[in-house]
Parts: sequence; structure tokens; C-alpha cells
Amino acid sequence: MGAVKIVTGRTKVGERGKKRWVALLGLMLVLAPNVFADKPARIVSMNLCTDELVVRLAEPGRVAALTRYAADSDLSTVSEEAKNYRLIRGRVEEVLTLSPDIVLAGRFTDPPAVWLLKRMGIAVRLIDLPHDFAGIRQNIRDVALVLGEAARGEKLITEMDAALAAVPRTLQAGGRPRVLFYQRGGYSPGSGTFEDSILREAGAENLAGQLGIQGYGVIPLEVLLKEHPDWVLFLTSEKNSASVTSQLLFHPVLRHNQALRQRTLDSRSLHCGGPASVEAVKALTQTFA
Amino acid sequence: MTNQPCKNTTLLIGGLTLLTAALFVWALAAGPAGLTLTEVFRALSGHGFSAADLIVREIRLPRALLAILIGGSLGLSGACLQGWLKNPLAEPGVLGVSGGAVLGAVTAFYTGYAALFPIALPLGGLAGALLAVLFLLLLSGFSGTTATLILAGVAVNTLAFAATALALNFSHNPYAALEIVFWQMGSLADRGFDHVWLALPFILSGCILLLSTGRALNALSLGDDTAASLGIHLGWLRWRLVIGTALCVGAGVAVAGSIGFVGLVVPHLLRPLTRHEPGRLLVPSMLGGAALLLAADLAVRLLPAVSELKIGVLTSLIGAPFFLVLILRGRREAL
Repeated sequence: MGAVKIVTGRTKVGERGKKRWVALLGLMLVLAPNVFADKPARIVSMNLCTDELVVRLAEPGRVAALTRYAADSDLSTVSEEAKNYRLIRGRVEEVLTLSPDIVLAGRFTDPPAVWLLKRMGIAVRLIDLPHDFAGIRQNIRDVALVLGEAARGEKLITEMDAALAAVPRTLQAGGRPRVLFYQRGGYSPGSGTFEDSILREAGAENLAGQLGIQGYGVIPLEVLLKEHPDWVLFLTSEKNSASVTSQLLFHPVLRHNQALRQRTLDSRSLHCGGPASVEAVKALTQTFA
Repeated sequence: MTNQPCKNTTLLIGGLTLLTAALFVWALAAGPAGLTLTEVFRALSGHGFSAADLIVREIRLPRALLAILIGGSLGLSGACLQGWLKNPLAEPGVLGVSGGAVLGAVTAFYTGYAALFPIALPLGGLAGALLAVLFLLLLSGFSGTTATLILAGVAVNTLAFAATALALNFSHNPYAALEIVFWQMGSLADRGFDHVWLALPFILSGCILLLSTGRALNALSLGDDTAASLGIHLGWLRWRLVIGTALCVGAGVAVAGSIGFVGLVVPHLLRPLTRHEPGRLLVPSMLGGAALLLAADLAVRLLPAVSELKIGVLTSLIGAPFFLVLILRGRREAL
């Protein structure tokens, strides 16, 4: 849009002389931040992970709404900041009434809702789940570009990389520990998952990956005991939830097992791959040290 | 139990005990960790803390014990309900008792009370089961024909299911609504000794109450008046049956969800072998239920599936055809 205006301006210059040319240039300079960068002024995010990036990348005045999860201190890494924003449940009607310039959603956000928004002519940008820190950098860059904040995006990436590089990595004498992420119902993230790359980043081996699990798979409790990993990792969100499948994490054979080293990680640093995921690497390297 | 111990019944009980024992050993020997029989027996006899010891004693043993407790109590409840209501279709699942227990247990579980006071879970199941039985009796007017009783069961089941779904959807946990499958189909997966100790006192006392009704059920099969003239207190019998069933079903459902059709199939299979005396059917039904659930649990553990099949899927697959046969037979008799 900005580019088109410049071209029409120039054709007018040739015909009508210098005075108008100067006036137009002056006007464009005044409007420059808006015209050249083409920043969306009404941003709506429909997904917790995009909420977290939007809060970090865009000034609050341009954010029309975040999801209500953004302000939940059990789930969100930006819960304090998010309290100052309008929070929605993410239903199509709510989004439409906000008449957004751009809607950010996750790859797995309710597909019918996304389809409907696109049909109504609203620009929707789907953000993928990152598989590693390279994926996080890519996501930050993508979202920053969409929001017209490329420079802030690069700054955020530089800060994240510096924090990641500053994590002390002292491997224990016994070499790389074999670690198992254990989740509700016995599910465990194997090779190709974000958790897998976080474990490698922290200098550990992912036992689920070694057992041949790609993506998510079930590791029976029996197999866990037999394999005896150096560490079993849980997530706070799963330990704190009253559900039948998470009862497995409190099975007597884990609860009373002094020989098995167990640690519960802050799930907020792992649910959304983002700048806060550095905290997960930090917590893990401290655990393994 | 019965006045004259019969050779046939003794044989039947002996055979079923052997079958249950064999399935119990198999349940301890089978599992994804692939232990040898020697390791299994060493684990059972010793007090070590090796992986094999823990796998057998803390994972497979409680699971097999729960299969016996729950299967046995379901078989027994079915035999008692069928004898009492003189109705071959009577069964905790069909009558809605299990559905009521699910509602009670779900309420106790997802409100978080069960996390604070574990005993709230079986108590919730018990309360739900009791309410369901009482509601059922009220609906069917205590002397239901097959049709009114089954219709009353459908009503109780539908109501309990809707209320359960409501409770799960209002839970703060976004995953709760997904767990309706566990509660409706039942599973023994990853149940530990925590669950055994929670359910055991309730199920044992329920079974004792139900087993004590054998003589009265035999008398009742001759008609209410004859039974009364034989000195059977009908009101007292009713309460023993109601509370016994609620104790068994409520506690079983609270720890393993609702497992259907065990109470229907087992008494039916065994009835011809017990000379059609309801009292004589009780102990064999209990053993048969234990064996059936052990076998069903072994099957879901051995079947290759990404996440384990729910045990109620299997018992329903076995039970539903039985139900159909019973309906068809009933129709033929009615003609």
C-alpha cells in the first residue's frame, strides 16, 4: 500500500511541478511511520503462544485482544502484563466485533473458526509450533514481521540467544543423563518434539527417543521402572490437575521410589516454545549438574 | 448358602477357583516389561526393591487384585439382582446403578474433594449408587415387570449420564470432559494399591451382605408369600440387597469406572449349572465374575493398541450379544 502511494506521487510530480512535490514529500514524512511500515493497528491473538509473542513485540495500544489464558498465572509467562489487555475466549463473534487488522492463531486453533474468519475477509496468520530454538527464532521473526516490528523481533532474538548462551553447562561426570519426560496417561515426547530438543540443549539424552518413540507415544509404567532413567521429569500443569490420567504421576511406585530421581518443571516454559523456554534449559542444566 | 451342599456346586466352585487362580498368575506374569516367571515368583516371595520386584508387587499385583475384587462383586451383584427382581436382564449397568455411581464418583473427584480426602471418592460412588437404586425402585414400583424395570434403568442411566457430562464440563480442568470415556467404559490401567485399599473395605462388606441373602433368595423364588411364611423378612432382605449392591458397585466404579455386562453374562452362563437355584448361584457368579474380568483385563493389556483399550469396551462386546439373545428368548416365550 505504501509503495503504491509513492509511485502515484511521483507521476504527479512530473506534471505539476516542484511545489506540490515538496508538499507531498512533507506530508509523507509526517505519515511515514504509518504509511511505510504498514503496521496493523488492531491485533487480535487467538492462541496463548501467540499472546506471549504479541505482548513481547507490539505496544499495548495496537493490541485489540488476547486470549483469557494469557492472564492465567498457571499457564502464561506474561500473565502480569496481560491483565492490562482486553481478554477474550476466542470465539469468532468476539473476534469479528473487534474488527481486527490481523488475527494471529496457532496451527491447531479451532479450524472452523479460522476458516470462518478468513471467509469474512479477515487476515489470519497461523503460527506453527516450534520444534527447537531455531523454530522459536523463526516464529519470533515471522510474528514481528506481521506486526511491523522487525527490529524488535531481532532484538528479542538477540536477547534470547544471549540468555541461552549464558546458561552454565557443566556436564556431570557420568556423561549425558538419560531422561524421561512423563506426562498424563504415560505419554512421553520422543524424537522430533520440542521437549526432545530442549533435553539435547541441556546436554541430556531423551529416553523416549532412544526407545524408538517419534512424536508422542506411551511409555508404560513397567517400562519406566525397567529402564530406570537417570531423571523422570513432570510438568507442574499436569501434577496440579485433578484428572484420572494424571493420577499415574502419583502412582505409589513413583511416589515412594527413593531410587528414582524425579523433578517437576514449570510447564509455562515448555507449553509454548518462546523466549521463556530458556528457563527450561536453565532448570534442566541445574538439575543435571 | 444352601441347606444341602451339592456335589455339582462344589465341583463348579472348585473349577472356577482354579480358573481364577490360573488367570491371576497369568496376570502377574504378563506385561510390557517382559519378566520371566522366575523373576515374578522371586518378586512375590521377597521384599527387594529391584525393578522386577516393584513391577510385580506395585503394578501388576494391585491391578490383578482389583480385577478380582471388582469382577467378583459385579458377578455377585448381578446374580443377587436377578434373583431378587426375578428378572434375567437385571444387572448393575443396565439398571443404572453403575451410572449413578459414576455421577457420585465424578462429583467427588473433579471438585477436588477426593484429592483432599481420598475416602470421598468411594463414598461419592456409594452415594450415587444408593440414590440410583432407590430412584429405580421408586420408578418401577418395587415389583417391576421386565419392561418397567428396564425402562426405569434407561431413565436412571440417561439422567446420570447427562448429569455426569454436565459435572465434567463445568470442571476447571479442560481435560476433564475427555475423561468421560474412562468413567463410562472403565479401566484398570495404572491403578495401584492406593485404589485397592480405598475400594477393599467397601467391596468386602458389600459382598458379605450380598452373600448372606442366598437362603432368602431361594425362598423368594417360590413367591413372596411363601418366602414370608418361611420366615424371610422381605423388608430387611431388600435393604441388605440395596446396600450390598451399592457398596460393591459404588466402590468399584469409584476406582475403575463403570464396567458393564459382567453382572449380566456371568450369572447366565452359570445358572444352568446350579439347578436354577438363585442362592446356589451366588458364590459361582462371584468367582466367574472375577475370572471374566481378569481375562478381559489380560486381553486389553495384550492387544496391540497405541493407548490401551478400555476394559468396558471388551466386556460390552461380550455382553451385548448376550443381552440380544435374552431379549429374543423373552420374546419367543411371550409368544
